[in-house]
Amino acid sequence: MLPQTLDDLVNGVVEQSDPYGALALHPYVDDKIRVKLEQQMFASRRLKYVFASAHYTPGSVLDRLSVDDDKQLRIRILKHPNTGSETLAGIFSGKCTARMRILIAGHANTPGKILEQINWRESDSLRKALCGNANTPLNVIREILDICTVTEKKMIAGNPNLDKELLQMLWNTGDAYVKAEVASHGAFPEELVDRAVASDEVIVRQKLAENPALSTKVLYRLLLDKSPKVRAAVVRNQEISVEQEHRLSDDPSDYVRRHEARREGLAREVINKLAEDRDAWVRRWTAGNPTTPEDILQKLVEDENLYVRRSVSRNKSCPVYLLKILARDPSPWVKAGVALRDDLPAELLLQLSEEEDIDIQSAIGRNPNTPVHILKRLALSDNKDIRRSVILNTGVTVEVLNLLVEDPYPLNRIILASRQCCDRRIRWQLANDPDQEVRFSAVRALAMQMVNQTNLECR
Amino acid sequence: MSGILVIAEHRQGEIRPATFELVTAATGLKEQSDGTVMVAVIGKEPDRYVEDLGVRGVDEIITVQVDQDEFQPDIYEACVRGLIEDKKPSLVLIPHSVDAWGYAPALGAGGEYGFSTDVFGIRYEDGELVATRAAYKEKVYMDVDFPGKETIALTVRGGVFKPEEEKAEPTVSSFNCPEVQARSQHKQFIEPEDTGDIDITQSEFLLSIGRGISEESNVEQFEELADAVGATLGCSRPIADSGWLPKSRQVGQSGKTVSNCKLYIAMGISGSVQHQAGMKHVENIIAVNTDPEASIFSIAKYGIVADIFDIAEELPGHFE
Repeated sequence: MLPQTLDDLVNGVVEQSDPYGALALHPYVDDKIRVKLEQQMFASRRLKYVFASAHYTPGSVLDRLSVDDDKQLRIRILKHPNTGSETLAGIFSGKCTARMRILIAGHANTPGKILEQINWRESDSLRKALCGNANTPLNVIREILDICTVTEKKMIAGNPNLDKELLQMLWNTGDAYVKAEVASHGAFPEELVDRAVASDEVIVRQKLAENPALSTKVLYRLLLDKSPKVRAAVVRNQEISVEQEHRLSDDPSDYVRRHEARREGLAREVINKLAEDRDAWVRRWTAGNPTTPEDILQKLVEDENLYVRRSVSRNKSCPVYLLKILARDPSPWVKAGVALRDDLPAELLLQLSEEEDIDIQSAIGRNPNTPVHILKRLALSDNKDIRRSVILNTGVTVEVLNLLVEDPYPLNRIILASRQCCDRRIRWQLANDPDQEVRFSAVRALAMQMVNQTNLECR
Repeated sequence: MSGILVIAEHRQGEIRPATFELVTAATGLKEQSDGTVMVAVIGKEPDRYVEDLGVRGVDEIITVQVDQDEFQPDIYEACVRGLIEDKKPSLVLIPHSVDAWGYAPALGAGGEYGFSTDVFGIRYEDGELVATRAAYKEKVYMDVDFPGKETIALTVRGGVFKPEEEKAEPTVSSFNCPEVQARSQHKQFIEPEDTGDIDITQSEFLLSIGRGISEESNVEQFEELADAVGATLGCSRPIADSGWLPKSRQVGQSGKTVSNCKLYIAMGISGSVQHQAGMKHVENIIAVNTDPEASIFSIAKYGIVADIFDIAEELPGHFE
């Protein structure tokens, strides 16, 4: 019977004795019901191991499993990204082996106060794990820094919480790669800027040029750098003057011009020059640039390189009259780019829906404006990718989704179960699916729907 | 029981390279198996394959004439069983292929032979044959022995042994296939549709992108990178599903298996089971991901825990 409430759903899952359904429900129910569900979920050691590793296992289940004495089980839990800070703290305060301490030291959810308690002198691996964790308190990093390897220093330098003093210490003791990481840090000390600009290492100057906190004055200095990598990094970083734009559009390095072509709001003459560049990649980037003027896009629609034309088709500023031209392009990949567009006029959508190419059909299947009768046809396609495109369509109706409940490809049913516009009846049907991950996805989606009490009816 | 029987595999009139790989494997075991190496070829006109099968290490080619040239599981099972009963080999080697899946397990079970599949190591220990194969999704290797079995049938993984190429002139004999009722019929070979795009299955060097690239506008950067390093650009399912790259570039269970690939760089790909199905066999996998626990690292030869955009920036300089 179709469940109407969370209690109905719990009863249904308990009746089915489905551990995967129980797993999905676990975060949404109170402790009393959890105990009941756990009898199903933890019925065998094998299931415990499976759930401790499955990427979809919720943190609440990992927390319950963490009280188990089995070391291997705890190690799996410590490797799991969903393991929460309280669970990690609980394992740390219990019987914790050296291997477990290393995993705790490296886990992204371990809170600073636990990391502070870890004795980093215990092993090199433990120290390394602490160096790579952004939650490691700065006082611990200060203690470690003296004996760190270069690799560990580079890991530390990537920590966004570092202060200027630590960055200075890293700069003074690190190699080029550590210095490069320091140079790209948001808190990079101003007194080091000149030394970074004058560095012999391209990587240091390049990373400095990528630093969003850098002043325009320094960026202009870097724009004269002999390395194309550094000049390209400046182009990516900041607005530059029209005069500089002109210089860059003549830059001898393709690499720099490619980056220039990605910049939005370039002067018209510059874009024009880039649109006629000998390097196809420069033209591709220009064609995809949303600030490229219409008349230049019109020229690029005729480009001999199909990928340039494809870039025009994906340019969000491309006008309809150009889309009409591209919808007749000899390349299916260009037409697929047009078919993906949400702003496509109905007549073009219908025209492209007659195409047999799989990429075009999938794009039509995904397009939220595709009429129901076409979606129905695509939902019955022999090709699983085309059927999945319909499932992924944000404007699809329940009527169409109904055709896909028994899709022979399990992944399609997993995705279907978690689609927002999927109704209760479809989800309950999927909750009885032969595939365990489909059942999990369906029960979880049902539970979320019932908890939130949101009306998720489709159009 | 002595000698080794190799079952030749052919498709559309050509002997498949796996057959010659098995000849190399059999030649290496010949001395310990105390017998000859026989190669059996089953087909409508099996004599046409004799010249090709005459390579070093083969002592005897056995032709088995049947009504159709194309593979049919019932016919193969009956023929190979008949050959085993007649020639009494101690070891039967079959290419581990889609054909073998269709009949080898039935052969092994029905004949009560020692049997193992997807074997990539074969040796004798104290006169007893030991086969090595993988288990738990290649996480462990295991040795399998076959106590008390007089005949052992193994399906052998492709690409493990170097195919024998040097020509020789073995003796040729024929064998009559036992009567058998085929329960299926070959109708036609259907060539995969030519999409006009690059065939990633033929590429030796693939650079594949996944969810880690975040936005459609970043795809071109990696196309440019693949171009710069001489790789073919592939992708995981979510990228193809979003329409950011053609379906023909998708690697994995619902995409393609990159059978010729020797170097695979996975950038921003977590490594779902479905994706791994299309690439985990590649000898050199390099994975780049910010998540050190990403599944892709469990099959990668080299792992880089880093931002794919940083690596993309650095990589071309190392291919100059």
